[in-house]
Amino acid sequence: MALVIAPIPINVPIGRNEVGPWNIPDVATMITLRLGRFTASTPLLWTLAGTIVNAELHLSLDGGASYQFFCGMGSRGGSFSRRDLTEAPHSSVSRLLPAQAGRKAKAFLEVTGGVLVSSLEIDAS
Amino acid sequence: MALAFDAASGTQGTAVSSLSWSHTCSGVDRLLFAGAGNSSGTIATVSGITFNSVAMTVVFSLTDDAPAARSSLYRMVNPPTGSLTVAVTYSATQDEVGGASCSFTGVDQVTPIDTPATNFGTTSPATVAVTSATGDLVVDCVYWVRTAITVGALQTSRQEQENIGGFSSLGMSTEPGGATITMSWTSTNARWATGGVSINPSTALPRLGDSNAALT
Repeated sequence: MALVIAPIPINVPIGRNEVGPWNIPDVATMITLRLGRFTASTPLLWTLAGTIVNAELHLSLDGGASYQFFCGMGSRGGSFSRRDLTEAPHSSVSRLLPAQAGRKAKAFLEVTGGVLVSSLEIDAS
Repeated sequence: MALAFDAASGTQGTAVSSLSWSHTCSGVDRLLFAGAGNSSGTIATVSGITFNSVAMTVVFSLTDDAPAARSSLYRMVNPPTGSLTVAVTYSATQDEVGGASCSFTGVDQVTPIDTPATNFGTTSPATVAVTSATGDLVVDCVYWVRTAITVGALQTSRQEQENIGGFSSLGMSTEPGGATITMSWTSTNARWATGGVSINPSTALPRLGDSNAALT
């Protein structure tokens, strides 16, 4: 069974903020972190281009005793129009997981330029 | 020490301007490559790639002629060992980005690579002819605006990031060297950019006691 943390609202101050941890199902082969972006239909999310977020996923292979950086992404807020002129609903990073039982993950959100109001989604499936 | 593959890793993202992932180097006479691919309505340049916060050196960075896709390859001689961070920064937010890294051991630390070759196109296969030599190892990095890619028959796939944002794929592979090595990937026809380079083996003198040491 997959781990899917449905988009949860987050209100994150400037600085480095920890979210999680979460247990990763043994069957999961990939983990994805998504941050909701400003669009016409989500006008309250990550509204300002001056709000810059570096999001990191950290992974534990020892049941949570220790975590190591696994993958990350960074972006500015505001509307981002894709090549088809639709607005990107989120920014995301994904990475294949090493096969092992008892894995855990947590996220760090490094925020500069303003408070981050967004939604966080974790998908390990 | 013979030239050998060490490790590979990678990740992918959407609507981002930077991407990072962990990579572990080990062994002696090390060489690390970081491949990066990006696609978007307006193709960004790679502002830089770092490993353990130290700038890597560009091998090639090219787009197709639309442009719709960019493939880039950077290198670092004698990278530090252990699990450390590869970080790619683009000049602007991109629809899709992919990152991959491959490390090698037994590499000439003075002249680690030869002159790279690049190519771009719109039809399958994506190919690039790389000048090499017997005993070398050729590495390539392809970025293709298709959701799945297949490595050439004589190559070994080291890292594939497929279905990036439901749009594109990044691949890195190796093939033993020869006079000219044509690196290839297949998919359905679409825009791609690729490049490759030959890695030179270390030239350490044989030591007394080595089974193949020749004394004259």
